[in-house]
Amino acid sequence: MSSSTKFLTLKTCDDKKFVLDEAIAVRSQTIKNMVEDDCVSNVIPLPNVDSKTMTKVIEYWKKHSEEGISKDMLMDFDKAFVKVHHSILHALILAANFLNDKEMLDMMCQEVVDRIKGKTPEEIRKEFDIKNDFTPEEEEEIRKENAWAFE
Amino acid sequence: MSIPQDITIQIFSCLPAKSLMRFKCVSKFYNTIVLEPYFVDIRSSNYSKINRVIGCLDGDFYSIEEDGNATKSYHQLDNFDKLCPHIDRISNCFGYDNGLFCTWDEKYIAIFNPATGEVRYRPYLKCFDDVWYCICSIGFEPEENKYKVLLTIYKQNHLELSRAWVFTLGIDNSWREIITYGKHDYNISDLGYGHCIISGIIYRFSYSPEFCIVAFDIKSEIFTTITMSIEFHNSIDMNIFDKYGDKDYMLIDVNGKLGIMYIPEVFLTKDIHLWILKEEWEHQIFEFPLELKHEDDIYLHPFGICKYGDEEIVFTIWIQSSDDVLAYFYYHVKNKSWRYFKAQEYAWVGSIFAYRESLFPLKNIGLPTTIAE
Repeated sequence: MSSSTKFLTLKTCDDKKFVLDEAIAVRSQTIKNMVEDDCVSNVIPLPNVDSKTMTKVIEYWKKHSEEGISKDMLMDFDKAFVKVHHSILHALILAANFLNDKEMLDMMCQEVVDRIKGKTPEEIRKEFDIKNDFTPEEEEEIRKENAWAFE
Repeated sequence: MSIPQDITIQIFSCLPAKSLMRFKCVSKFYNTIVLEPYFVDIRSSNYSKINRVIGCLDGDFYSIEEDGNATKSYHQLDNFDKLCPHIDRISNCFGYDNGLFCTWDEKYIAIFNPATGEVRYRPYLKCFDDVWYCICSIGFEPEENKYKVLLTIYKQNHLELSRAWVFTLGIDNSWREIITYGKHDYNISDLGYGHCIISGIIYRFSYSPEFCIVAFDIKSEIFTTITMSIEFHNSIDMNIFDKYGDKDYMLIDVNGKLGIMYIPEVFLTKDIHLWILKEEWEHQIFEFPLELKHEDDIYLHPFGICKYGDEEIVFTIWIQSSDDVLAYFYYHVKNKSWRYFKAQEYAWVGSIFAYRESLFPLKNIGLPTTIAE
């Protein structure tokens, strides 16, 4: 097609290389900034993203860059895309955060919201690796005050 | 690798209040986060922008949720039972703005946040005795992020002036009387559908000495007068109430502008009139998209009308026929288009509100939920 298509090589933390159309890769604000600042040499290292996660991210970017794709098709794609194991979801959130793709990050966060809104406090601590710093008495007190929210 | 806290906060800001209240016992940080202004700010642009129509049915509140297939389901809302036993909930005496309700009976004024489950009471003052009626409005002032309750009394004896008091949530310890009323002896105690709150201003009809609209600026606490649309004034007969003893006009928020809606014999004419206050009063007429068979078949009440989202007005209409149906008609003011749903589950709701959750804490305001009798 166009001769001006430029490709970037991205290297994940497990040393896998991904060659990607620059126009697609700049969905990442992080990569876009690097390109604009002209500090792109041959390979862009992504020290915080592994290859398994990057494959998913690229799948998302490519779908969202397809020409003539309908809104409904994208919605169906997004719905299916977020239906992943929670460890992958977390990895995708960290990747979207590092790559600074707000649209993708918002979508992944919304999925987490839907998954956790009915959960118990114990499950939330586990989910986000949060330490319980209450004494049992303190926790009981707060539970009592908000008993309705546990119904 | 765990998710960084700024993303966790982002995620929490999209949660419904019920989940947030439950997650308070996750850790000390999450216990206090719901009180942090920065969190409340993020949330107001995330979760809290969601509007839901809620309706009052025999004192309980239901949220009316669209499931996309032109049907509606009802979910009973938490915490409204906490208004019992001190307030007679059957009455339609509700003030609402930006997530908080106020309601009142002969003894108490209750301020209520259903999202956090907090109810606080304020007793009446001695001087409220012997009033013909009293009306409260709760209003949110977005610039200073404050809620105030405006209470006005009106004595049957017209020789006495209306009086007004104000109470700032979280700041005042008692009612403060507003001394300056401008040139009016404002008859500012008009019932429920007479008031409407738009971006920090409470609007009510006033009937004496002349028919006008009184605007109360929540921030400056000053009353001003807005001249009535002459065209509207000329179209109504002030002495006539509809067949149910109610007025057939109301104040309404139209895309952030003040509107007067007039529904003259809607059952016969199908026409609804709307005057919107721009530079001048601008008159619009629109029609129900509904085939009306007989005037007795349909019941529309101003309590069953509210603004929804930015650009729609919801009308709840009770269609009394072989199968009792409550129909929800949404009128899009800008596009002049309609959408509607029917709900068979309940044939009737009382007041409806476009509700959005607020995390505003009611601690340190008035009396706690339990009142020693």
